[in-house]
Amino acid sequence: MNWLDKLSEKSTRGLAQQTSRRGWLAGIGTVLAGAASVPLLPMARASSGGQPKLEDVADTGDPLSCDYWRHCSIDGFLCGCCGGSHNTCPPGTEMSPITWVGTCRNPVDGKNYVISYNDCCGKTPCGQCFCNTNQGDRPMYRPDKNNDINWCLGTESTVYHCSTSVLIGLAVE
Amino acid sequence: MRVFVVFSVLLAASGMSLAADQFEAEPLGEVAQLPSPNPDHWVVIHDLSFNHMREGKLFLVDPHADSVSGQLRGMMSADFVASFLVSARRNEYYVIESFHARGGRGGERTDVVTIYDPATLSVLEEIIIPPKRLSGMPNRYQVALLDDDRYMVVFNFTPSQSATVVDLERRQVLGEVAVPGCMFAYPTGKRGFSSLCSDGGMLTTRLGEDGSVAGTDRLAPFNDVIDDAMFARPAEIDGVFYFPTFTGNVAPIDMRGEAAALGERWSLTTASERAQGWRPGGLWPAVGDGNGRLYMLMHGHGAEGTHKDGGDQVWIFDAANGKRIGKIELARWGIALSVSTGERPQLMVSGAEPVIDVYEADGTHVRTLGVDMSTPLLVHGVR
Repeated sequence: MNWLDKLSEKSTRGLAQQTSRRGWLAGIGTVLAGAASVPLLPMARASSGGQPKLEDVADTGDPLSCDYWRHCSIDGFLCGCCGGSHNTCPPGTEMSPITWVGTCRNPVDGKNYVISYNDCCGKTPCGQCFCNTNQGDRPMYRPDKNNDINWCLGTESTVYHCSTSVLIGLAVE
Repeated sequence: MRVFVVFSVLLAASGMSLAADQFEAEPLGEVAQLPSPNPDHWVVIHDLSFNHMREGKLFLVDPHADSVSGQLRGMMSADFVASFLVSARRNEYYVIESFHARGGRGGERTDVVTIYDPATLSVLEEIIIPPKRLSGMPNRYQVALLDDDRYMVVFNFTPSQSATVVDLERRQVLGEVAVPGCMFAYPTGKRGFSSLCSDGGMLTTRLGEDGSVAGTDRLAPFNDVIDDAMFARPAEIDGVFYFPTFTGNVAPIDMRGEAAALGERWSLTTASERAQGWRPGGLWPAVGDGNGRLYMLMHGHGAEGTHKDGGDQVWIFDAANGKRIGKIELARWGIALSVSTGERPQLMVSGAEPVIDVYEADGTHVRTLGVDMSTPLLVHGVR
């Protein structure tokens, strides 16, 4: 089901909360040379250590479903439907080292977690399980909060394939 | 064409007769041409081909025609979520696109400004630009024409932010200017562009004739990015840009002068409508036409996270005074708005189903275009 179909389906249900649309991702930090008045953007790295792992966090839901709590601000094809998982890229692709981070509430423990929405790159778009939920998404002029950007940057290939939702930490209120 | 020639030669060699005395053979190798400039009510529909974005398409369409054959007049390729611009003054079309040497795998990336002749839809020329143009869901203002279309700027994101400046007369890249912390290029004054910044302000960059920075101006932060963010997808009417906000306000910014000038903010909704959650939304939620009308794609029950949902209604406003002058109940859920150019602008609504619905300015639904498309999100007028 592509995102247009999904949007249509949701609209007929009365819409409101999570919608779904497009597909690539966002997130990240940038070198803002000379921008004295501009805040530096947060940098998320999928490889950062010492963060909670899924097995340590009470969990519920289907990671292959757009409604899964970690996907609260994702925009792309779910890698779990493409040969990878919600936190693993499919074989033969490369995970973007930079991206944007969202904050999603875990319905089980009621805590907010920081999710890094890293893209997987280097193969043509997967085309499966399109999902676009936009909690906390902001326009592209806030790249650290935007899921419309193709985050296949800093990778060998800039071709977008699918998107992950990597749990990287507990959000500080 | 070569196949036809080979076929003809083989036919002759075989001694077969085409009974040429019974009818006049049709000429081989004929290629259609178009009126140039293209009629001003024609549109170019950008089909991203989202699931296979290396094969994006730009359909040249006559929205007045009833049949598909009458509607579809030709096509341009648009690789990897391209951008598209029209110069009426130069009578040229520009596709700003990316090619990867190894296709879907990637490989060396080449970014190109491909210049098309509207009469033939053939490539007149191409200008290689640095392979760093912003890649993501398309925004009309990630590219812009300045100074009577003498210059083009292409916004870059690597994630460093800059703009490549192209001289369209000399067909060459002049250079690259830094736009730190800001995004997009809204044409401003004679040879400038303005960008929305992450701190909620706006930066105007003025260029010299050589494409270098001649000066800058900043608007202090005015955009509440967290609680009522401005969409980066405004309606433009005669050099004034009307930016809707997530909760239903409009921030007009006058770009006719040498620096962006902030106008007075107004609300799209009454207090009652706001309480019901009526908000703008979509991939392109706001457009203006040549007659001073603002069209806003609206949905009810809006909340955090619904800003890309689109809507089932279009509200029409008089841009001059912010008064609502009409309301359209859409034939199907819409996700993006566009308008055609010419004397009788028509509203084009990209549907949640992959079709384009055409409406008259008064809201009358004229037709659903019959061209088969997969993700037709943005429509461009040709003038």
